[in-house]
Amino acid sequence: MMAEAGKREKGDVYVRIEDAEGREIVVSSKLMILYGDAIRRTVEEMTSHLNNVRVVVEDFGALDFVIRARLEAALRKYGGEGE
Amino acid sequence: MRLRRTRLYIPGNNPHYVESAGLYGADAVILDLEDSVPLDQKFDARILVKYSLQNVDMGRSEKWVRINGVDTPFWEKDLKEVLPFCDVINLPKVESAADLNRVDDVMGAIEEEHGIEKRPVVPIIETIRGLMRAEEIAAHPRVVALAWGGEDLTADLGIPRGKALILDHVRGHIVLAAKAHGKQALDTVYSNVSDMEGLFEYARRARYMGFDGIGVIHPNQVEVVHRAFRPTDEEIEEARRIVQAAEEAEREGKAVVSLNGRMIDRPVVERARKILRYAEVE
Amino acid sequence: MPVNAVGRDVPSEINGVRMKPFAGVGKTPPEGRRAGSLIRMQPSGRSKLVDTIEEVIRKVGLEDGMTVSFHHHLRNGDYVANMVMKTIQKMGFRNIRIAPSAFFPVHKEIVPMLRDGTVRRIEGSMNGPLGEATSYGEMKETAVLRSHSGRVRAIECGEIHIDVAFIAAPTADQYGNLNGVDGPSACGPLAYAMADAQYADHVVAITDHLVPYPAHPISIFQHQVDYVVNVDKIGDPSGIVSGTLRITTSPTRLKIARYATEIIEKVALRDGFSFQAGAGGVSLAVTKFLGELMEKKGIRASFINGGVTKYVVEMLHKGLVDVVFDGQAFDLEAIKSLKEDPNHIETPLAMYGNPHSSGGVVNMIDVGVLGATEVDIDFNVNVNTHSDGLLLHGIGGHQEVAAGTALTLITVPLYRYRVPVVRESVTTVTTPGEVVDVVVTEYGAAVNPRREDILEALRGSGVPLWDIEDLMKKAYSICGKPAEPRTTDEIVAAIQWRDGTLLDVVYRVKRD
Repeated sequence: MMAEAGKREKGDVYVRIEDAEGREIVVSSKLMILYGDAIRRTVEEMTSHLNNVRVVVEDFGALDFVIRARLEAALRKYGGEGE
Repeated sequence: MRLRRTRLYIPGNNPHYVESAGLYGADAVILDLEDSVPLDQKFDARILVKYSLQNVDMGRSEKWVRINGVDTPFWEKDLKEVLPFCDVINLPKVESAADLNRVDDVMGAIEEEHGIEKRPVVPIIETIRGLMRAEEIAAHPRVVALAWGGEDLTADLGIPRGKALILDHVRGHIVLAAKAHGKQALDTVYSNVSDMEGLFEYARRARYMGFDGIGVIHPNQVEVVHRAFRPTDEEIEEARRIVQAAEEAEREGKAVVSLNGRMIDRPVVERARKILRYAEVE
Repeated sequence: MPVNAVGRDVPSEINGVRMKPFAGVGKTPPEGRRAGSLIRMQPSGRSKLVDTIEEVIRKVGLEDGMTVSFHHHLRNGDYVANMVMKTIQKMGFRNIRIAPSAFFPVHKEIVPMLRDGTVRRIEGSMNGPLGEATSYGEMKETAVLRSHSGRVRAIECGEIHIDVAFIAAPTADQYGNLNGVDGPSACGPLAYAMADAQYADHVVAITDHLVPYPAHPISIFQHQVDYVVNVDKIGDPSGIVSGTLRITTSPTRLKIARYATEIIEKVALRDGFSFQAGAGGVSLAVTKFLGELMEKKGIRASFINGGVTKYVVEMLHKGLVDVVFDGQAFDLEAIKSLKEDPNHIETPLAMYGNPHSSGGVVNMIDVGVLGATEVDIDFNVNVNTHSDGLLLHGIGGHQEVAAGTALTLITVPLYRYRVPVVRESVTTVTTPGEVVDVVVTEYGAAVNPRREDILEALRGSGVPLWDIEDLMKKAYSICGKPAEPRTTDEIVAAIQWRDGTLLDVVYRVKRD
């Protein structure tokens, strides 16, 4: 199972959630130094209920609520919600 | 009734544009889930709009969402996602009161579930059928204003939009249908974003056609349109005198309002009051 | 390390030379007399032409450790600095100090020379890859950044001694008369190179447009120029000038420009006023809006100091301004006007804003509109580093415009792609808050409490007024508070105030 949300565009974030062994979170951003920790915290918080997943987040300077919106979209698709 | 001189369209799936939506002082901001969002992004977009409505400071702007039309598989999900967080639902391609009833039912269920106030609807009439039913649409209790769009209409008629002579007739029809039921009438957009003089003329014309506002597709257009909807100094002066006369008549318990020996009918007083509201908003 | 007048820790020495800490604006007077260049015997013959750059480098007697200089009128279209430095590298010279007025991304070819020992340090503005390389510690010694006027001050007092000045000359004659208004690589004025021509021990002109003697007009005169080298191309016109400079179309930037224009209108606009024009997005929009306002109100400016673009030229031709002072031209219309209009005057950088002189133009300017990467709640401004600590921009004329003009506006968005611009403390201090009057954002403006007169004038205006701390809180509430940059204790660059004192330092950034 794999679900994606968001766009690789300035101000947005691309999110992918896929089946994996264990729990892996991969965050990349041009703002790693300034907001890497904050982004990671948001991702951890919203995916803490998941196991055996890889969550990939490619950030392009998105505000926190945008990251949350895209994570929710990906999570709901991953959980089987039809588009 | 709220001023809706400008309603600024924002593509709902573009965070970059949504973030600054509240900065331009438009009377309303429309987060769009319809034409500006590709089919494969509808799911993401409605969730982003939900978050945006709760996190972006829209200033003094009324928060609208243009959901997808009842002829699509998206509209119900759109409503479920965004209704609790927006002020107005903008409904495209409305053709009848029956369309509105379908939407009304779903909205009512969501509002009851969340214990929230009823949200008004602004339908967009975009087809000949819809135009012919403009009155029943305007009469619907959910509706606060009528809007219209020319693309599909002129396509229906088989004429190029830019050369269509029938559009002023369409405008008139929309205005009359709306006003017959005490609703606002909202004109469509002016698409040349670099022609500010043309925009001013267009908006002025819309005002004198009886519209309460127009659609706006670029933030730069907002201030120009507000200026165009501002009554002239002469209009304001006369309106002041009329309202003063009406208030005087009321104080003195007179049934008839008169000014300079002329009798002033009630609609004239109402018009004067409306003019002052538009003037005082600045 | 002592703490200076803006509260920054600064060392007492840079590159082994004492540097006084910043003590406040106007608090450090000059000392001594102006320096001088080597007196040279006139050449024999009627031509100073030398065939190649390599040959001229030999003729001037370049040695390891010497200082060479370049000007940046060719901006990102410059070929000369790279040509000369590559030749210097090829010839095996080591430990050269470069003192450019500014370097641009096109000069990234010099980055390897930092690593291989050809260049020991750069004293000058660095935009882009060179600044980044400096941030990561690739320069052997400490870089020194100065404003345009600070550079002139340093050259005049001998703080920077230039051994060889290489002057890119869009037009030259065989005896060394130079101008920048003609030729395929025309750039407008040669203002930045004038101090070099006067104070360097050897002056070499490099041109791609040799004309019969005497060249005219003349910006830099033959008696200061030792050699002339004629090459194929000194630059790329598309990088030198803009064909069509466009004002910003971003709605937020336009909103900032409108607020700025309204503030200027309420505080400073009157017949005979003056302002500093720029070419950056918002500054250009303000110039345009001001022009429209002046036309509407029948107001004439006594002069505009620029940063000259077609918008300024248009105002000149419409009679909205009496005189244009030109230190840099940005487009073809500006260059043409410099050539043709008698009241469009090229001014040497020495006339601009050197505090250790008898008074620069900036002291007569009423309004200046400047940008920033960051501003803080003390109104300090950063234009050099980004919030991640990387050194990516030079100072330009920021310090002198802020210090000299009567009304200084800093126009900035509240944040840029999640990075707050208004913050608690700037990463690097480029310009101290005491000379910054108003910060203008798309949300409204914050006025420096020192300026009650401005607050008074803005009462009842359409510009929302904020406490600067509230603007910062708004930025943080939208973006989240950013983490601090990951830097070490190693100082890679010194930021000088235009009087030569040490304002701040830039620390080495840890690589990922």
